[in-house]
Order: sequence, then structure tokens, then C-alpha cells
Amino acid sequence: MMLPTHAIVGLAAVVLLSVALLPIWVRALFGGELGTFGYYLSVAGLALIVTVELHMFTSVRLTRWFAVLLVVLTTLASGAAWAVLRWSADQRFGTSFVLESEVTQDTATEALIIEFLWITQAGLFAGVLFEAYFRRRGRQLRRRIGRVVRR
Amino acid sequence: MTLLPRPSVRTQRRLTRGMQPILAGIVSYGVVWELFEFGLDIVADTTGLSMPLAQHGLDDTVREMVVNTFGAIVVATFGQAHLLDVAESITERLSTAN
Repeated sequence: MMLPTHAIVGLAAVVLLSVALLPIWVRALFGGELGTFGYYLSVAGLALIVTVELHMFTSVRLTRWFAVLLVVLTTLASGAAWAVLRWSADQRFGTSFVLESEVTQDTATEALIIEFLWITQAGLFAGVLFEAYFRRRGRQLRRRIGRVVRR
Repeated sequence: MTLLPRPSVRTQRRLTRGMQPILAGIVSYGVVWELFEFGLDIVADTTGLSMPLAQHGLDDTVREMVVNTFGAIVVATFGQAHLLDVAESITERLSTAN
């Protein structure tokens, strides 16, 4: 087995823990639509895990910009999937996740669209964040390798 | 199952590995499309123009996304199976050109 576990743990420890803890803070401090933003920031963290695993454990090799794009797209797609799941539950089991009983179809659509806008922003924000992180980390690693090679 | 030869494990791995990006791309484009339609609705409301595309409530919007997701699964499955050779031959040609 050649699992670079230290790499995963390192990544999870530094970026993902802080990103995954963020929604709790945002929810506690601001709530509402910023809460949605925070939730999808951590979904973007999960998307990053999937992307990194694709890169490390399969023969797929991703460039950095494509990895970041994939994180943004996966976040949006999971927002869509979650909306479809909630809507299906509303239809089948009579819940009121996306369509509340006294709300019209159009108002519910508007609420969903606004949620999608927040998800898009969260995905883009996470993409920029990860890009900045990987850039810095790449510089650090290159410097460290350079020091060893010069010796 | 009898029509096609069973793909080898390596081929199966090659087939499944690229599906996640394709699915993510198509399903997220569904969301972008709904945002676009919503924007058209706003434009229609403010200008009084009638748009060829419009959102007819939540059920319509979500059904569109459901159908889009099914389409994404079909495209990801068949596209991956049939376009993989094309992609590989392009990669090969580009790498031998250098």
C-alpha cells in the first residue's frame, strides 16, 4: 500500500477543519442566508476531498485550475441534487422543505433561486480560497525542496 | 449484456473515473440555466416583454433539474464509453508532436 495518508491528514487538518467549522460559526453569528453560504462552503470542502482523491488514487491527473473549477461545479451540482431531494420529499411524503404550504409556487422558486445564488458565491469563494492555499503551499514545498537539493 | 463484450477491470476503471467531472459539469449547468431563466423573468417583468422562456413555478423548475440530471447520467455513461478513444488518440497525437 502506498497511501500517502500524511498528505490527506495534513490537508484535512489545515484547510478542511477550518472550512468545515466555518458554517457553525457563521450560523451562530449571522444565521439566515449567510448560514446557507457557510454550509455550502463546507460542501465545497467535501468537493475538494473528492477532487484530491481523484487526483491521488486514480490515474486522473488534474491541473490546478481544473481542480478548482471542478470544486466550484461540484458544489453547484450538489446544491441542485439537494434541492431535487428536498422537492421529492415534499412530493412523496408531504414535507415542506422547499414548498411551504401557504407559499405560492413562484415565491418558492424565488427562494430556491436565491439559495442557488448563495451556493454559487460559496463555491466561487471556496475556489479562490483553495487556489490561494495551494499556491502558497506549492511555494513552501518548492522552497523546502530547493534547500535540500542545494545541500 | 450479451451484445457487448464485458469490459476488462482496467477499462471499467477508465470508464468510471471521468464520470464525476462530467456529471458535476452538466448538473451544475442546470443550476446556471435556472438562474438564467430567472434573470429572463425579471427582465420580462420590468420591461413588459414576453419571453419565450419562463419559469412556471417550483415544480417546473425542479422537474427541469431532474430531467437534466438523468440526461447527465446518460451522457456521462455513453460519452465516457464512446469518446474515450477519441480523447486518447488526441492526447497521443499531441504528445508525439512535441
